[in-house]
Amino acid sequence: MWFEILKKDLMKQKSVNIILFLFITLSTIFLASSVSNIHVVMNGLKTFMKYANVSDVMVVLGGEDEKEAFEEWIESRSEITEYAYEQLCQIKADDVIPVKEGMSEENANPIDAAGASLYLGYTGSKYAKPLDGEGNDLMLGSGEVAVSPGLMERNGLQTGDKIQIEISGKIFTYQIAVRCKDILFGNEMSGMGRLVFCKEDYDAMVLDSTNVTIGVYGFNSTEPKKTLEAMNRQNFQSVANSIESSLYSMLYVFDMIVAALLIVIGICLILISLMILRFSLSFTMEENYREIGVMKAIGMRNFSIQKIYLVKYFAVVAVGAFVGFLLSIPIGALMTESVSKNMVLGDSTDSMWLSLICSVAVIIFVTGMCVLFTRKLKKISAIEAIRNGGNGERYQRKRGLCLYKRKYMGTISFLGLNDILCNTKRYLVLLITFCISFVLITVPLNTLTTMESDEMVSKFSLNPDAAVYIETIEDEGDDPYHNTKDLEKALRRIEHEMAEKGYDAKLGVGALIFCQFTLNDEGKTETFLTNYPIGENGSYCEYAEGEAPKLENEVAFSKKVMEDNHLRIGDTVTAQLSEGEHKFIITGYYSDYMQLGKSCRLNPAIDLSNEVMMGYWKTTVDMDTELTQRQLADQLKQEFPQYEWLTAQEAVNANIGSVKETMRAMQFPMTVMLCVLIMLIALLMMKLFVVQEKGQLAMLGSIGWRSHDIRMWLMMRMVWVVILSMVFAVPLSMLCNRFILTKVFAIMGAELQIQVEPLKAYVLYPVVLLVGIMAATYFATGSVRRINTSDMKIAE
Amino acid sequence: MNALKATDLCKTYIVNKRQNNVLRNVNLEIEEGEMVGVMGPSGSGKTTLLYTISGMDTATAGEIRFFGEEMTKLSANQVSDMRLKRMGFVFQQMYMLKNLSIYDNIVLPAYQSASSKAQRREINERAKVLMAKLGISEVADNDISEVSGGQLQRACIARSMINNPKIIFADEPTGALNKQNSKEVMKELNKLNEEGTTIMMVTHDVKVASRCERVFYIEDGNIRDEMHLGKYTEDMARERDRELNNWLMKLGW
Repeated sequence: MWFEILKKDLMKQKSVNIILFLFITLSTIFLASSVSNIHVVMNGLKTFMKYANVSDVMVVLGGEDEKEAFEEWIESRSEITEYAYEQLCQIKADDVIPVKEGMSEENANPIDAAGASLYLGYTGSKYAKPLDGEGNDLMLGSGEVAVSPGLMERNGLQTGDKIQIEISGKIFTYQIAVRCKDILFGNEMSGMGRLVFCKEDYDAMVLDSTNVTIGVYGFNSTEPKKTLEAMNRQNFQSVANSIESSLYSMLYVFDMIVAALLIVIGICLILISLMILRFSLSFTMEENYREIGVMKAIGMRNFSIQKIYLVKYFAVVAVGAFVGFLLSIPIGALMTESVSKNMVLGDSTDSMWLSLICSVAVIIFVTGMCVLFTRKLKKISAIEAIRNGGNGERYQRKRGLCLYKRKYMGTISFLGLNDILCNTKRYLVLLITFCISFVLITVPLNTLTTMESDEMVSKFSLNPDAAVYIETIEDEGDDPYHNTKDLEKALRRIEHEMAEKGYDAKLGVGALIFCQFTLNDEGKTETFLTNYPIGENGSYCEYAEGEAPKLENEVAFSKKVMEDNHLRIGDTVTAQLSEGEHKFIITGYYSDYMQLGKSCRLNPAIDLSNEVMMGYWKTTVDMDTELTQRQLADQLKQEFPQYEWLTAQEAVNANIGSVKETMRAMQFPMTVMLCVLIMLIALLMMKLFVVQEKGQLAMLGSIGWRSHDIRMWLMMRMVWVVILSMVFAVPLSMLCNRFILTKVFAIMGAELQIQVEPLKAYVLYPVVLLVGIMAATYFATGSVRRINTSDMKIAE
Repeated sequence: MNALKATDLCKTYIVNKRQNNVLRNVNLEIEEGEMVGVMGPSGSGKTTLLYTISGMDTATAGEIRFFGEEMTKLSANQVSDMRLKRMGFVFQQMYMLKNLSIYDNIVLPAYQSASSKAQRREINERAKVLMAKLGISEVADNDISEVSGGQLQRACIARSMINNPKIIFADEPTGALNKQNSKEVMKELNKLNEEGTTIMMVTHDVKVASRCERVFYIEDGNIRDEMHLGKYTEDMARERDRELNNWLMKLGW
């Protein structure tokens, strides 16, 4: 009898068992492959950092004016154990022309760097070394160049193709010899790209060039934080940036997002599997009520009876998890393949063990739950079971709504909603899954919307309403500008050039100058970037509180500076300017992304023409025009090809371009993947409902319901689940915006309002999901047509 | 007028590549307003005959006319509509939707075919009358698990009647009921028949069959004989039982 029940059960509930098997397989695939992928990336990052020899701190100096002073300071610091210097030369993407094999040089277009800043570098650096495919130090001969995989893929380049570089009027041609793995410059998230040459080629290019060079100092310190604080106190005006080694892991976070997403889905699938298991068990036990009674009556122990069910489900779960484990190996390999293009992963054999552990965990967890679900066997007495549970105690009041009271609701809609209200547990997991999936779809969508919004533009200190922007304003043959007077002259020159061609424009630009401030009575000093306005609306800023500095002795700080240093409006700070100390009163604060949220604003009333200018921000062009920024930029590109005309979005892209591109590249496949998964879940769940409710469906068919109406009833349940899930998902998505996305954007240093396109996020996407689920459900309910009156015997 | 007419009706199932001829050239006619019983040994094809003739199952061959309309030529949707609006069904097991109350289960088929608020109001009125007539008004709001078998079967009868069907097909309507409940249910069916509803009923129970006007005896998929008992009257119940018993004994029952 023991074996008979098991065999009968496996065969009788074939469809349910297959669905359970599929869910267990899918969840194991997702969990095992994703967990091992995250493990590979995290371990790989450590290996990559070791191979590339990443220093504790990296400091970027603009130019070489302070090189000697900086090195002297490094030598004086006892906690710095070692350091190395490397020079990089900045180059415009327009000056780098890839020439693919078989293509003529005339037809070649500039390289697409997706808004990232491009640098020329050389082999032999000590820290953050570019590596070859195998993780060895890069060896390049004369005339060879190494390019990161991201740049190569975006531009469709292969090793063997050529790259032409124009630098200070000279043209150099190199052949791509290697796809290099570059820990800092190779990741799209860094917003920087590096073309690596041998030292001789680099020197030949940079010699006599007027291009900006930057100096990168890498040093290991026993106390990196203390070193950085000390560096800030030194008032080095050319320090453009300092990077701690922990930042490297941030760059590779995106490589783990898809894996993390799959873990969430895997957990949802396990929950659904448990739900199926529970239904299936209670369904089987109700069917076998009499058999259970007989077994109890002849003296079989509870656990012996429980074993019958446990063995069956253990078999289904174990086979499902095993198949899932086997399939997770190639899927996991596929996931790590994309990561391995950029990273040196090292030995990843232990990831297989991790997949196996995940699979075993799935088996143990689901079987454990199965033991819990079968506990109610103990409560069934022999006599009660033999009587087939006829004492009525098994039934519970389930009624949800009253059909006759719903005057405006169609029968089918009513039945769908009523089913959900009567079986909330059954639909809860489905509702949670849809809800999570919707949030997972809207989060990247809202992120992209925010990145493309005016709010984002303003956080980059740019006026979204400006007519157009200019990237660089140096005239041909000009050296890079190093003081505000040069900038002023350049603005007047361009205004004049534009006026000659009939454009009545006013130009403004923010000069970027580092100023050291003493912030309190204890003498705490820190250096902040000043976005000093020159010309008309030179520096755009929206103040959160207080107002813009209007007098010579007024200053405004970013909110982060105010909070970090416990400053308030009305406090006084002292700046060390080249002409001596200068006292300032704080008049307001703002929140933007300049220098990772730590900057200050001064009024043009104070003369900073003697200070060293690090560079300048995008030049704002104000003029009356009917044209959009895009149209005007295109028009001005034709008229003034010597300047790079930008829209506000392009100006933002230059700073976050690679992140945005990565997000955009991820969004569509991620949305499709989630939709397909949801459809698969809806399809399998609906198949399960059809199997379990065959009797009811047959009864409806017998009293004259058309198959189409029965299918509509079943589909209507899913419609209600989707609608209800959206009711919860929309506020949940808003909460995610408020508490997660805002925090993510705050990493860059400023608070910003997450932007949502309500029609797209809360109408279009839910409708797409609904249509997908409907299609899957419609397909799943196809078997309703084959249900006949003999199936009524299955009815409860 | 013939409510139902079956001519050379055949139904064949293929089980494990074996042909099983359940109905073999069945010919029968049921007049409008008649109450007909179908009896026969287990596996003789009684239920198959009921399901095939009512359009719930498709016939392998032959012709079925429902009030003159050829059913075998109708599409599946047309047959469904016919079952929904012009036929009523009562089964041995009281199949109902478990998530609905007794009342909602009764009005469900009618609501499905009604579109306006006024029609729904009319249906509600009709349901109340039917429930009162069948003595189940007090359990209207109960769950299906909260009423007795007899009450549930009477609710099934009410559901079968809600669309004012021309015919009710009943498959062992008292099969799952005790003596008292069986009597109540049959009383209701007789009342409906008196009011003009045609009833075709499959049963094993002589007492139940004796309430019919005419009884068919089916064996090996064929109608072997039929007996005319005439309209049912309470005072002639014993005689009808005896007469039917004798006839069945002669047929080897």
